[in-house]
Amino acid sequence: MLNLGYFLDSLKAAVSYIPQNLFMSLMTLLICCVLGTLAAMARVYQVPVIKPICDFLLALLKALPQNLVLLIVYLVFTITFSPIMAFLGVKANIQNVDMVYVAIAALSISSLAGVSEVIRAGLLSVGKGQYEAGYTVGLTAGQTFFHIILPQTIRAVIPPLTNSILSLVKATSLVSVIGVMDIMNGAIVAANTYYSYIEAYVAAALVFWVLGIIIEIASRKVEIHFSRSVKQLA
Amino acid sequence: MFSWERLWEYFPDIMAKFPVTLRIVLVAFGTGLLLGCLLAAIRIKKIPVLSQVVAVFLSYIRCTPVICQMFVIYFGTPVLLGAIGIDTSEIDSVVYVLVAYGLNMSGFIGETIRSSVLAVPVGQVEAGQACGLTGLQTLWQITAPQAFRIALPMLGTTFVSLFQATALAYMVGVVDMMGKAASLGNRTGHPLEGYIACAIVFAVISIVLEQVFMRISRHLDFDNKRMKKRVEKEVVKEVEVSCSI
Amino acid sequence: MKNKFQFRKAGSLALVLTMILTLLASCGSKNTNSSAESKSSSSQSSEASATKVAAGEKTKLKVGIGNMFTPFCYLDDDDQPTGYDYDVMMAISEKLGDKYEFVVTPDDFSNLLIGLDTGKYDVAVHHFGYTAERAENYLYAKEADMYFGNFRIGFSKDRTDITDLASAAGKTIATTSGSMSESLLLKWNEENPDQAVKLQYIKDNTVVYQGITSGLYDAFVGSQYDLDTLSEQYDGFMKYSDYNVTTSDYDCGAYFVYSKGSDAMQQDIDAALVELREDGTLKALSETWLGADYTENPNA
Repeated sequence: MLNLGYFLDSLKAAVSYIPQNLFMSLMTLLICCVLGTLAAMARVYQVPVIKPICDFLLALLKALPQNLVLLIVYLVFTITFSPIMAFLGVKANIQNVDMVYVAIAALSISSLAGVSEVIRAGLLSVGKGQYEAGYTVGLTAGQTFFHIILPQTIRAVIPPLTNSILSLVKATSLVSVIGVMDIMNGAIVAANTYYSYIEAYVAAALVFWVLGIIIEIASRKVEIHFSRSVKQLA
Repeated sequence: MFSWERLWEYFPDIMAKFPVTLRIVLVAFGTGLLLGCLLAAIRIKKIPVLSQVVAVFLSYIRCTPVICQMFVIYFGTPVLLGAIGIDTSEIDSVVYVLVAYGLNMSGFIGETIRSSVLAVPVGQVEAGQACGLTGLQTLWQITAPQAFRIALPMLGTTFVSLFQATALAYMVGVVDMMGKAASLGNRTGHPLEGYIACAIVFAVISIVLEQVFMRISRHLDFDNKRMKKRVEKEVVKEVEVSCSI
Repeated sequence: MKNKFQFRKAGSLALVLTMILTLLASCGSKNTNSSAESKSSSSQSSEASATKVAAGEKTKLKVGIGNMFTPFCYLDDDDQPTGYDYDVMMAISEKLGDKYEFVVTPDDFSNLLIGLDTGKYDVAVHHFGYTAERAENYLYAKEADMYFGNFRIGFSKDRTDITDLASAAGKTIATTSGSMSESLLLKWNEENPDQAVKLQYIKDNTVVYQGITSGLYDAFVGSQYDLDTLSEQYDGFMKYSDYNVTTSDYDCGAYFVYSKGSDAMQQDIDAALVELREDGTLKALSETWLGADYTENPNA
């Protein structure tokens, strides 16, 4: 029924792409954290003009299927890259842009809303008294934010963000729609010679499963660690 | 290259496929609700063996991408059924999609139901028993309504993400909105407009759905603040996971 | 107060129940719909009413056909399969209508051959070229339904640096996963590791134009026919050299592919194909769909 040889071929190929998936998901997380924090701040602190724009953009991005975002970003990128570079007067060859970065950009776009939401909840979880305490001891608004609010926010968002990593790793399985190699695409390409796709998908699923279990265990550890430190502080 | 005219022309064709997408969403969600209740019951009652099997199943559903799950079912079922002599050649591709998404949903919805039921304070059940209600009566009249209200916002999120995830079904040959967009792009040689038209449809419907669910849960929401906090604590952890099927 | 609560509770439960019931209902109606659909596409060929009566004596012939390969096999406005390959299959079904009941299912390219493995299809139609690896696992037709010409290496019309695979060493070549051109390129890389080309996977041919003109891909390998149609579709953006990516003894035919053991079907359909070629039907279809007669072997 299942051919063990084909299965092992696909499994080997799938395993070899684990770093690729992890790289894509961590880069995406990083970008989402930076942009997501900015968006969350604009929304929490009710920055005029920017807040409604953020509200609208995040709602829009959240509403789009991830594979569709990947396809659109990819097509828009190939169409506009050369004209934009020519316009900027930069001599750049589109081939020097690894498609992986296009995939990361697309994944960041579609994951931004979720990550930003987590950070917003983290910012809101810091009580009003903390700001007042900052101002009372004579800190400026910026100092209060960076020295008092941000550290507490970070502690609050790390456990839920470790959960996001699992979602992001799963989302990376979609990059095959734009031809980027990953765990799943690697398994499939290894199966192309003999059309052993059943073996390929089972192998890919297995690799994702094991990876997911490891991430879940790790995030549970992180969660316990952080809830303990919160308790100690309290 | 990009033409608004073409985008406009694609719209009606893509919209016409909305029922196909809707069918997948409704059937998968319905299957998910029914099976999910069963899975939640098994987990809450901690039925030996079955409970462990369910835990493994849930781990698989949670940890693997839905696109993988779909293809494993699409390619795997005919082989498995063929091995026991069942002819699967009559089965339409969309059935595999329904099964795959239904199973996926039952995992996520099952966990939602479980955490919601457990979030109902023990005191409520005790109060029911104190009034002389039977176990089933307590479940049906006291636990279920409260759990339902707790679960609703999360079910809404899951519903919307299921709707978006159906954009993968075209990969097994189902002509849904996405499949139509791809097919139009292929025939005319201009795929971008089709995908953007598709994106607009998805965005509008997702946002409307989200609003509807928000209204409903706000309407059903109870005013007990202490209870709300407790629920949030229980539920927030799961939300992140349930957001991404 | 108590009444109000009860009312709400009843309301929420009713909501759930109606939801579940609606879903069940829609589930049931769904199944009948889909089977009706597949039937309508199966009996499109000829005597629709007669098919049902005589269905018991006929052998079912399950055809899996591509849904994204213009103009050979793709979906029309009503999502019914159409194209050259489809029409050839329909012409065959008219010839063999007494013996077989043709059930045609459109599917994604990557799912067709595996459908032969699982028994979902008896024959896969996607303009398959001959590869030794495929021939190991599947049964090839003996008769081609058209000849798509030799495989060429296509590149932007402004380029002169690429003439053959050796000159494309290190360059990026776009190819579809699981396709004939992929297997040719992989074979090249295996045999010429020091002149290997870089494969860039694409989902379908629609991105070739953007990729080649933007410089994302240096080249694209496809049959002469594919390159001609693609280039024509977008104002002649691509050209190709005389270099033959396949070997010279390659017959460049497009074949139906059967599951192993379907020899009887294969022989019947091949016989029908020969008849169609002789009575000029193939030539007419080729001229209608492809603009010229592609039914003769150019390497013969």
